[in-house]
Amino acid sequence: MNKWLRPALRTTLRLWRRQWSAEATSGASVSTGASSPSSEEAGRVTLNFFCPHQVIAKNRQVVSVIVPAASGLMGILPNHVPTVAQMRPGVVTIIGDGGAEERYFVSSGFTFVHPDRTDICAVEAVRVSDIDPEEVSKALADCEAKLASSSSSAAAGTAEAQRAAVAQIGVDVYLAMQGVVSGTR
Amino acid sequence: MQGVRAVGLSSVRRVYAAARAHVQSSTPGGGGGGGGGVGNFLSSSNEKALGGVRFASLKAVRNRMRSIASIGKITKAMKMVAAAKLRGTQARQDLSRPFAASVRQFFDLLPLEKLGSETKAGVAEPKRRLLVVITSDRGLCGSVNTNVCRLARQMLPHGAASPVSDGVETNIMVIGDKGRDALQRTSAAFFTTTFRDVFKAPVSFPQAVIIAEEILAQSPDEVVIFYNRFKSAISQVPTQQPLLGLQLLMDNASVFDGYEFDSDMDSSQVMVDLFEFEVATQLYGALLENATSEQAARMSAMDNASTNAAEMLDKLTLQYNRERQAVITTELVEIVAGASALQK
Repeated sequence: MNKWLRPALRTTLRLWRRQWSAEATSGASVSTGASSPSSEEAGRVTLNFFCPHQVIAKNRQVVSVIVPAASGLMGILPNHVPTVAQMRPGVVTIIGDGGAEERYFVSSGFTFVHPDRTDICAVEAVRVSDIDPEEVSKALADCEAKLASSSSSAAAGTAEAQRAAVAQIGVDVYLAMQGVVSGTR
Repeated sequence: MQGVRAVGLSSVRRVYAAARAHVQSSTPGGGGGGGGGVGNFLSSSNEKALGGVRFASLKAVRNRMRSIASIGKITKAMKMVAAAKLRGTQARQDLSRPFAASVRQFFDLLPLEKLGSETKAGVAEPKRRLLVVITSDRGLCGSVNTNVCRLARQMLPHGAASPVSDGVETNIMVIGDKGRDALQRTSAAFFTTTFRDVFKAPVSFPQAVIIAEEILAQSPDEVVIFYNRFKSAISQVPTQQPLLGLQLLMDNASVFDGYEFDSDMDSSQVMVDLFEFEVATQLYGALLENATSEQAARMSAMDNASTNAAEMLDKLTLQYNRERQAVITTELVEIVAGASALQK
């Protein structure tokens, strides 16, 4: 749980830090020449949220988005500095009108903050409400067991190391998922 | 299908000629009321043989009709299956296109044309180029595989027998049985890896990741993906999509200076991860495009085959009936002629 509080605390800091002053923004949009100021000026983020097999949002106007970047949760408000962020397992929160929240768990992927829009490209995304907590803890135990068995024979070849790495990724993802699920209920 | 049709047509023509011979030689005699023509015909030494041929050819036509009808049924069924699969893959592709496009758009900041002049000096060692040719596992899908293989072959150095020529190493990675068979004959020396059964199950991202890992393991300077872009159900465009290698990307990283790279590690690691993500994403997009194209091409190919079969069947049916009537006419003439001969 402690693991989860830290990035959350950082979020608020980042939200402020990432906001650009007005003059900086106008400079950025001139240099890229590709911005569509109409949507951004209205105080909205133009959001695209894609998976390989699913389109969750396309050109949706939202108030803000919070993505689980590798270095901590990252809040994206209009006129955010152009950024490429790698995502770690965590929750993408889309905040619409009147503070209505939509929460998706993503396994990994990238977020591209362009001057005129924000693209979230996740490898896998599911609604947090669709996650079954029992399945998560089962899968987590499974991966932990695999990790334990493979790291006990850590000196063995690369195949074993790869199996351990896969198990480690599984543990990371399911831990994050469990944290999210238990946090919401 | 081609071979079948050629054989069919020639036998039809033979049968037709034989039937005409009967009709022409028999009718004037019959109409004339027992002239010399009929007598000649009956007394000709090969009468028995002619009669044998007459019935055998009727049977041959009937056999051909039956086989064409069943081939027609098969092609029609294949068309239905292809149409159903096309709907599925097309729906999946519609959902995945924006995903691949948005990753692509970021890398489009680095235009390929600009690259040639800027990096030539920087690359001293042999350039490694990997051609990824995406084809289907199964045939009967028109010319999609041929087109893609032809496009890929154009990228190979002319007349070279070994992968390395002029300091550029070219390798081929083939996905799908059909492409392997087509390219093996001419360019087996360039092969590194071949994949099969990729399209057996619906294309998935994990599958693309496995292939992408294989591509990255060869650390090429440039990856060119060849596939059929699905334009519409009747038009598939053979396409080549170049992807830059990691080294070139790193050399030109300044293009991306407008963006802040967020990572808890150093930003070059983000670039590496992003590059790998890009390769997998583009490959996934290309695999889906090709799977959709394959089904679309198969659908139209099988539609054509069914139409051709129906057309042939019509012609043969006409032929069969005409000959059957000729046989009946001949027999009638024989009876009449026989009766009139007895009356004499």
